[in-house]
Amino acid sequence: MATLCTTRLTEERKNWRKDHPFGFVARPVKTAQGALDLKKWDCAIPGKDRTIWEGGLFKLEMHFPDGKFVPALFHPNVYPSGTVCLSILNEEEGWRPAITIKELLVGIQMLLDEVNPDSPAQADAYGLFKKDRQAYDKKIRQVVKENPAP
Amino acid sequence: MSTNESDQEAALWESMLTAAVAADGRSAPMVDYESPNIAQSIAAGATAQVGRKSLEAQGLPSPAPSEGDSIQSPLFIDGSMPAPTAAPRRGPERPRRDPIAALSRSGSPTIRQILPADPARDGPSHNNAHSRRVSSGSGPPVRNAPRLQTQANAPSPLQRTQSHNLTPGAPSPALSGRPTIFQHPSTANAHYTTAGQPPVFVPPTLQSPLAAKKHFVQLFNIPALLEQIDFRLHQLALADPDGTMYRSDQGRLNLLKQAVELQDFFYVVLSQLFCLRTTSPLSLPQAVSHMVVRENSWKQLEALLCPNESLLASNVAWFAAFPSPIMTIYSSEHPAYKSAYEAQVRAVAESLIKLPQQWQAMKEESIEREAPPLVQDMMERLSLHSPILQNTVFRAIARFYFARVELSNSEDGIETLMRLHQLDQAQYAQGTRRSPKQKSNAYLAYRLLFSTWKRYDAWAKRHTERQNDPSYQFRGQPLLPFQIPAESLAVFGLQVLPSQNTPPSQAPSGRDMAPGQAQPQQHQQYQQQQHAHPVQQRQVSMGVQPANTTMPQQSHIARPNAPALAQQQVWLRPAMPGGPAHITQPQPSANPPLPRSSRLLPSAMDPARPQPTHPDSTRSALHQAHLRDPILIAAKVGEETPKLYRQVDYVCLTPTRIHRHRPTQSLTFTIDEDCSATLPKQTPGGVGALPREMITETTKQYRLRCGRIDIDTGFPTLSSWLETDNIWPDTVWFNFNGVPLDPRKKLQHGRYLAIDLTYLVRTGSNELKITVNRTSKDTSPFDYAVAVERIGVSSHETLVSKIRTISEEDSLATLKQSLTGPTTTTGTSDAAPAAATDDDDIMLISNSLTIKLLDPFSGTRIFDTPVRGALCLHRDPFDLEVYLSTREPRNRSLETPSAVDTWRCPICRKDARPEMLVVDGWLVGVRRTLEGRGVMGGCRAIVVDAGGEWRVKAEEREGVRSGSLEREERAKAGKGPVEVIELD
Repeated sequence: MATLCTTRLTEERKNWRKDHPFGFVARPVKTAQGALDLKKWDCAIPGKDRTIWEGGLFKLEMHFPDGKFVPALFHPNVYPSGTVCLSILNEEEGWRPAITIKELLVGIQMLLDEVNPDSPAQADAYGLFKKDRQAYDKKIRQVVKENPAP
Repeated sequence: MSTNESDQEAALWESMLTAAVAADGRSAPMVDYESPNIAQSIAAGATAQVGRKSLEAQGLPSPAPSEGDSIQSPLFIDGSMPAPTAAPRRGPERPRRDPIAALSRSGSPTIRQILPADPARDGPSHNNAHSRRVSSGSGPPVRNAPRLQTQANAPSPLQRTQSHNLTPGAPSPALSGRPTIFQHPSTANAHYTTAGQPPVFVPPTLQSPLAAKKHFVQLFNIPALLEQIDFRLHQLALADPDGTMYRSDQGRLNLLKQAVELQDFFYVVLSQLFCLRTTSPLSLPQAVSHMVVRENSWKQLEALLCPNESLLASNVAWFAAFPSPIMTIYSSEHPAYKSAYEAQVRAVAESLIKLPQQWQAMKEESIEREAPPLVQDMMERLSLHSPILQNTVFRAIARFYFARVELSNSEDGIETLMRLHQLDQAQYAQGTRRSPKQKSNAYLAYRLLFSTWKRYDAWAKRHTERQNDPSYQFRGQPLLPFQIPAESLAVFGLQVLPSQNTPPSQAPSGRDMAPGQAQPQQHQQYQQQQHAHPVQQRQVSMGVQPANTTMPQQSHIARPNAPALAQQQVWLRPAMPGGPAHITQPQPSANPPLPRSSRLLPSAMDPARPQPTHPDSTRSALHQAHLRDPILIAAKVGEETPKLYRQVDYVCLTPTRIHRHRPTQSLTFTIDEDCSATLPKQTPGGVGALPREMITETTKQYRLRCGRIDIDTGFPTLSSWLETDNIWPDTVWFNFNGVPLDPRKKLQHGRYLAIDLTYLVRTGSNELKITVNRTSKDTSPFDYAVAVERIGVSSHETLVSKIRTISEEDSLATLKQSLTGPTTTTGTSDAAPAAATDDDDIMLISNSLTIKLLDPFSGTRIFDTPVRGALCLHRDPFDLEVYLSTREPRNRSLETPSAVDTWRCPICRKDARPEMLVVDGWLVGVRRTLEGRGVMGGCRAIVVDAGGEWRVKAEEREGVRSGSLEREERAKAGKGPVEVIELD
């Protein structure tokens, strides 16, 4: 299976380089020996335009199909560990082999602004989101400032 | 379908269970701090006078053992040992020494010099009165007369070179039984208690090369050596009855004594070399000369053992000549004498060289992971063969990170940690070597103990502080003993039966609390948890520990400074009630809340704990070890092992809704076929191992599942049921054919697992009893259905041969139809019944359709055999063989049949069990055409129009290209590199 996995990820890499949404970053990490480790990718997701997340760039480690914000992101659907709580990232739930890296990352980008209140993952962000939306928005803008897009 | 459980997990389980059995079938040992003692000692600690010199700073890698060391292992006070190897290594030959008797003989030739023995003779024969002992000044093999003379070496305060040094501080036997509590400078509550009980348990000597140990026993008269040490200890005690002035000396002597008792030759030699370096560096053996072992090595050793300058000069000289003057050893006529010693010197040198190289990194790693190094780490990285020094290193490192949190009592916590370390030593001695994964499990065990201790410590502190508060419910009550978390013990091979855990019913119940106090808190805590992870399933019914409940109680004050011997001892007590250890054990119902060592129940002081996104079921589901799935093996057919696939092929009990307000419900169904004939053949595994089941094509298995039901639609098809996730509601219990069922839930296992009924079903009538524990007023949603499923098995060949094919014509017809919009259903093929229904959601308004041809798994090539599920709404196919090959369970051998719940369409996740698969004949034709044109490689997708004509879809770019790709292509095209800002 290892070969199928590698083939697929190589293909993902190829397709990504040919065509990927603007502002996104996704590349396999380099091992100590300088080779590419296809199982693990460094990614970055820009905040969507015309949302409170606009102007931010958020780093993510993908360990397919798990995705983890590094450092953990202040967001109701991101666990304190940084793991993203999104159905398409969960093998038991919505993930399926046909999903591409592009779709995963765009899905996470959409999640940033479209919080899923049924699936809270961290108390801080969820609490603020529920109780005081203005303070939440303010906090997000601060998070964006701390993680500016280049 | 947890056939996916990794093998490693299975191995861990096995090792745990094996260890449990190795515990000799004795009633399960339980490690506790005995209750009353800690309360009293902590209470006493606040007022106790400083009786001893204190450590300079908390958390320094302070000289080896704290006073707790003298107890060696209070955990084993009742002598019940977990494993035979841990039995005291005491030769029957060694007579029990009475310190008083030794004292009375002092001055007489109590102290004998050692003589090189005849290597042919066995050690024990030297140990009795008939062995050849040479008293002072006589005996040819020993050239130097023993220099140790009682008067000459009697310690004098004047001889002390430094008085304020860190001291190893193992108490002398003369102090036996005397409670001594001294106050820690930095934390007023910190206290040490001396309990001079002779060690009941002595960990076995580890890793000294066997030969060297044998020589040691042969060459040295161990009882005589011990007498020498005891004598010196006694002299120190005489010179300073308070036992405060010579703590460094006493500590070193006690370490040496332990080393001799354990036959830890490595340490004995190390001690001699270390002191020899102070008294007479030039006489150091070549292997440890300054050319080989650098200054920083010795400095590091000083940090562990405390510098020689803090000892009495006379003692340093004595250590330097122990077990025998170095010149005597090197000039001995016995070749074995010198070579055995020399071998140890080289081992010591190797370790000393590694010490400064590895220490810093080892320390930092340990602090980072909040777990001291394992014995295996010390062996691998420091070549540290001495169990005594291993203890010292372990303790020193533990102090580093214990000191980083504010604890009122960190030393007892460290001693509890030492308990695990000793188990680790015993395991290492037995030959246990851990894989990296197992190592990290062991670190987690240490870390778990640390965090449990932190909670216990905070609770104990508060309990103590509130003793003067008359409104405190548990005033005057002793502290509950600390319990080492069972998970931690299990990692080190000690299984603890859960019977000792206070069941929830015995925890302080509502009637003990002032309702106004307890209820809001309970509510609040629930809210808190709810808040943190409301998605997850939780067992709220288990009860919440009250924290600040108020209730006046009888107020007898804890006796301050109770007999120290009884204090702080960690008992390894039998699980059977009524043992002596239980006499002081208060009734659980009267106890103050105890911070749980269990991972399942948070204590009242716990903040809401985030739940793991992927719980490690080897830890979180220990209590359900017996429910693990068996290992399935495909039975051979002739010489071949067939590739077998499992799928649900039938529901014996169709999905039936559970009535929300009927407390007991009974569902019956009949099985007509003879199910005993189709059961898999089971062979039980070994101790702790999983049973194995042989699977053939005729095998049937049965299981129970429960899922949410949509009241409006119900489950019209088997597929709609199988696409429903399994879930076990908290308020429902099941009993099948008289056997209560035990569901495995998401909190412990990461997801809800189906319940295997294979060995519970019977031919004829079967009954499922459902108990629902809901009040009639409960209006929360409760829409669940249960079904009993039958799992069938088919081989690869059978499966492939049964897959239906939709003819090219039929397929094209439905395709055209879907593009022209729904018309009257004209001979709808069975390929897409759902697509043909008049459903607004799926009506296609476009008059062309893109079909991706690439196999969704690899993403690189076009299918060989285009299949999809009969229910799939898409036309995009996936490749049959790739699909089947990816159904195989991961991390399992080829002979393992597939999992059951793995048949989901890789594109849309609809039911795609083998019997649902269809081959699209039209796409087979498309492939043929592409192949004929030779454009297979470049074709990723095709576009079909309403007339059924199709063309290869041109690639369009939606986003941007990578700058690095541009550069590469330019470089290939021969143009020079262009400066591009890399964006990806």
